[in-house]
Amino acid sequence: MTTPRTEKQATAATAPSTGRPRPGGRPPGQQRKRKKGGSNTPAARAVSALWFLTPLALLVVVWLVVVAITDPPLRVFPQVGDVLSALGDMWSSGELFDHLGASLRRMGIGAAIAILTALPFGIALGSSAALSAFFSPLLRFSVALAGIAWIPVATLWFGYGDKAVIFIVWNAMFFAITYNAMLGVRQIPTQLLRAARSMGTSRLRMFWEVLLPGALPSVVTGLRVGLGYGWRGLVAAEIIASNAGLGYALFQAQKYFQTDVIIASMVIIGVLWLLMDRLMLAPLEKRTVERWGMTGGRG
Amino acid sequence: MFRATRHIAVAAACSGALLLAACGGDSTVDDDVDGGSGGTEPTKLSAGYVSAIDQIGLPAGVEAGYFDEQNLNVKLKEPYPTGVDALNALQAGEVDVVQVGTPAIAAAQQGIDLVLVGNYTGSSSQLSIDETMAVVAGGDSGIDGKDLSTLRGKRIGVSEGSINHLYLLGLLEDAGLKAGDIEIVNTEPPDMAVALETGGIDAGIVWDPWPITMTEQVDGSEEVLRGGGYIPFIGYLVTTREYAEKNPAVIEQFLTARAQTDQWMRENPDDAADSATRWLPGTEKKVATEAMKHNVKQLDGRFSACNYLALDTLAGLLAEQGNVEKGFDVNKYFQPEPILKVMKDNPDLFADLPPVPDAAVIEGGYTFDRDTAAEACPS
Amino acid sequence: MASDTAKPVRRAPAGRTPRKSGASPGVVRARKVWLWLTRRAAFRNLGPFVPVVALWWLVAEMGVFDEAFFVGPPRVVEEFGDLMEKGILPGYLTDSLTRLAYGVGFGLAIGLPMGFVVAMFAKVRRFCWPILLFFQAVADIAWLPIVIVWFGFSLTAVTFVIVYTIVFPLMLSVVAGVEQVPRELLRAARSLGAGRTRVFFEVILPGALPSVAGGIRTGLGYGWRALVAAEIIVGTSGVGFMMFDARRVGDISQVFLGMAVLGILWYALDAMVLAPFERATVERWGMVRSLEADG
Repeated sequence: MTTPRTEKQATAATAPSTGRPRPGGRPPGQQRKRKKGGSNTPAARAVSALWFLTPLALLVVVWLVVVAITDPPLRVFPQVGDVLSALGDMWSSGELFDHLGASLRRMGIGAAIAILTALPFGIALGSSAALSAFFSPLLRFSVALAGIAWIPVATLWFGYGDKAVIFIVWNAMFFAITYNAMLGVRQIPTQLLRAARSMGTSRLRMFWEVLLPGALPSVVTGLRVGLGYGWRGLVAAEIIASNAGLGYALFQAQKYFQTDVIIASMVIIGVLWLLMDRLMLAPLEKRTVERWGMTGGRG
Repeated sequence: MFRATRHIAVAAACSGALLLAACGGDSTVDDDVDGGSGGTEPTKLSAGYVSAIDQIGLPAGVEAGYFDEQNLNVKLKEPYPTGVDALNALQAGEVDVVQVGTPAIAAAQQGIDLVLVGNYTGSSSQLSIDETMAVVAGGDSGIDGKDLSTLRGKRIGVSEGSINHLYLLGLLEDAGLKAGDIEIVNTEPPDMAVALETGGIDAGIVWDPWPITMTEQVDGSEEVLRGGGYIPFIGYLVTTREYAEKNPAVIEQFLTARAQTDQWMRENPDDAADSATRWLPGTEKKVATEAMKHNVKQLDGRFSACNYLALDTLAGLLAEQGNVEKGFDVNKYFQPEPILKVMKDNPDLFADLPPVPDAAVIEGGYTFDRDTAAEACPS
Repeated sequence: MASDTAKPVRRAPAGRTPRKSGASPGVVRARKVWLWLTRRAAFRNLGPFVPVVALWWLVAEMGVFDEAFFVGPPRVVEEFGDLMEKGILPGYLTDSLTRLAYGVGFGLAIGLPMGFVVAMFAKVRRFCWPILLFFQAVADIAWLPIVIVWFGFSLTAVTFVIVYTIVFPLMLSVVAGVEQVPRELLRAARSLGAGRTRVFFEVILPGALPSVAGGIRTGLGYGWRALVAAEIIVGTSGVGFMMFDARRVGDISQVFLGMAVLGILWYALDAMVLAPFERATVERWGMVRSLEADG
């Protein structure tokens, strides 16, 4: 149940045949980079950031060249400069901050509610076979329904406004977090659970001191994946009841045939998520696994 | 192992059943409707419209055979969800002629090379026409259609940048209110009913048939105001400049057939409503009849200075809201020659319409001047 | 295989071991019936829906929400029959499933090879990874406006969106799958004289298969949802279109019908094809099971 640093560094990709692999899609390439010694100095981090950005920069160059050569109409495919100037306009008019603020606020509230509801629910499902047997089919059913399909029902239940949008974000995140929490609990070795019970641990302590920490790595992965879903769901949901937000900006731009603003919005959406994921969530996940992880070797 | 085989058998059986059911139905992907065939080599063209009651003229005309009479073989495209989509399709060369309203302004400014050759809704005898627009208020909203100052402090649902938004601005101006005196809630037409029901808005402003279905769905709601001449409703027959230049005769024939259809609709609103229930699947007959009642007041396919004025007014309003750029030059986009010829050759098709004011009558090569037009056209 | 289970722990359903002796015959029989029921796959799968549907029915009957906005099961079933009879629903289903088939077909054809290329060649992976992450972040829905401008309202547009949604989780799972093939196995195979191709097809590919199967399952879920969203927004036909178009005429029952149909179809697909497929690959080739977020 230990994850010593040495073990981690020794074998990059040895799958622990006795343990469990990291749930969810992790960027192994990123892991590899980190392991090559001195991975946390500012210089090393700057280098790794540079490596990360280079392919993207290359992509921009390709875009520039292709558009310059094929010269499509602005409406169909804007040039890099057009998009940048659209971004600049949004920044200087303050629109950008309005949109960001609205989107992030809805995201934050939806995420908070999702975590508070899904975590206990998922852990309960994980520790009770009866509950999980009952709810699993319902969870499986709900995978089919895209967030946007919930709009008529959401606007009816929560009123036409921010609340409906937040519901859709919650809906997108809830099941991912639940599922991962459930899995996280399930993979706690039974000896641990029995040991804790035999020592007479109360239910509450069981939850806080055994189940939650044990499930934590899986939960954090679920959080990360769920936030991804939530972010995507938010953009779709902002087609309704909004007068600010990145999704709103995207769809309004479509109404007025402003393809450069469309692409600018897409870029912002992508960059924002990338930042959130790389700077916040990935390190969080890593640290949680290092601290709490029971799986060997792949933290 | 046995269980797995059984699972696969069940899965196969279900998929088989599903496929059988699916094959039993007609695929509607890329379904096109053919307008019959004429005598000597009818000219083929494709036309598109948006699923809305005021755009029924196109499919109804195909159904009634007016296009065949003009020796045109019109292929109807699947209705587009919005005008934006119709214009995108026009731009992509997927369709030859589309029926589109306010989105044409932004599209033209953003570089789509379009020309306006006719109307499917609007008026050439006066500036403002908005009979198909209505304000639906909740029962306890306190909004009185006769006293617009009751709008103050209320939450009004409109689609930002669309014509109902502009209508609202017209209402506010008339009531002496400013945009800041009310709260605008950006609402798309399909969501208006549920927004009103759940109290997200106090009133919704929207075009037919939404006001009619809304009053049915939301208990206690009612239409407090309809029309009133606050805004010029526009809806054009749009094609690319290239197509218009290459096929002037076809355009004329097309416009003639449309004019015939319009007249038929004005004279037979009930049959037109029937047609609407067929072309807008699911529409109830009584909703269609009610909507058609208002629609026929706006069925004027002619061009006059008033149409230019209407477009210019709307473009100006949109520019004020920051939705389009200033300086929209309507002269660039109107191409009145075909319809003027149709008007001259077939005066009977327009005889039942209110006459165009003398000062507003135009000839080919007309250059729009805002002041003269404003004088010529009663608002 | 590990002694610690590679699959989620399936603890015995409550009641398998009768705890109390001396219970009354009625209770014993009830317990036996319950045991028999819970062993039936149909009951386990459909049972939980009974209270949900019952609740739905109740809420609709009680008129908690206005009838114009919330309909109950009877109305939905009626609408289902009506649309089936008119041939509308089968038509829309064909359209939706056709689009899905195209999207999934291309998605697999593009995602699988690309995934393996990225996994196998370190330089390619280093280069592509940031690009992949960036594009994954841009919501599939956000692509719809521009895809419509490029491709119009065609099968191409919807296929693009579905392929886009499927490719990323698929590639990630392929890479993860290849990553966790134990190095010793590779070395062993090479030391036995296997060339690169053989190593790929006989060690890496099977080793990655459970993860890939999981990735296909997740990817299909994404694709399913993307299809519905695309049909709602781009809609000219299909189940997603049907759901939202009906609102135009003030009919909400088709929204509920659509949700039910979509859910049931996916459930059938997942329970009867995808999950067993994944399980089978794990049983056959799995050394460790890759746990995806919404398996």
